[in-house]
Amino acid sequence: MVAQYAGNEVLEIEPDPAERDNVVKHLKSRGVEFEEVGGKIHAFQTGADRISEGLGVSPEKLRRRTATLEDVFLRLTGRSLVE
Amino acid sequence: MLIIKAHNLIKKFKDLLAVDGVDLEVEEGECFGLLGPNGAGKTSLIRMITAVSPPTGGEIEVLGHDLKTHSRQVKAALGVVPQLDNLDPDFTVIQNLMAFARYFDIPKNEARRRSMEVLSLFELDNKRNSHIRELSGGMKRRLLIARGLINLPKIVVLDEPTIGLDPQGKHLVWRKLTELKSQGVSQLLCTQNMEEAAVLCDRVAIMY
Repeated sequence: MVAQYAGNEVLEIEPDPAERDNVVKHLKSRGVEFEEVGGKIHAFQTGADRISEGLGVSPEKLRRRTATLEDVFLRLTGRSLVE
Repeated sequence: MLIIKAHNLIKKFKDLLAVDGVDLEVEEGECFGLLGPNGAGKTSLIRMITAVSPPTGGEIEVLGHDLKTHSRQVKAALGVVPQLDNLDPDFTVIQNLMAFARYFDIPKNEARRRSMEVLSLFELDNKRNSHIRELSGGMKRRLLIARGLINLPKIVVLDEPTIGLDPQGKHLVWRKLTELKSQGVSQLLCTQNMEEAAVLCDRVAIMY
């Protein structure tokens, strides 16, 4: 279920407010699905390093982690679902 | 075998549609997780399944009984652990359990034996003569779960069972629930804690 809805890996991005719009634009242009929760962007099914390039955010604001049930929850119930 | 079967369940409160056509099937012996954001209708759904609140529409069968006509039989076989503490503050711990056992017509000696059993299960034996107000929040929560097992239920319905528990208490409850499941007690678990759902549940549904 986790794999089906959130993929294997999630990239958490914590951009400065000024960087936020660029990050969102970048993710959209790459067709990456994401949820924004409390200033943090959770990008799903990212496929390793591919999308961190060109985000324009310093590496300490990025965190890669394994997807969990919480991500499924966010994706299904999130308020900013991106189709 | 299906032990809970709900079809097209609807619950309306005046203009508010709390539950809109839910279908739910729970298998015997499994732990089924019900997840969803606040206000998704989880508690409303649970209240209908436990025969506390009548559905506005739809059918529910629990253990093969139609809830409309056999709510007594269903209630006798269910253990319910509510989200909010509804322990009797005027009674001691053991009196709370004994009084609860009375609802199920459990004879006094048997009620005492089971009370001691569930207290020791949740590491509350030494609190049996304490008053409810002397218990910590975590103890009250464990007592609520213990109380839900007094009638040796076939299905336990738990609404946020580990809310407010410290990590030790949470792991104790998780371990006990896992043991219960291995003894064949089915569980319907409502939770906001995704780790809890991942640890305990065989299947989950997300309401939103």
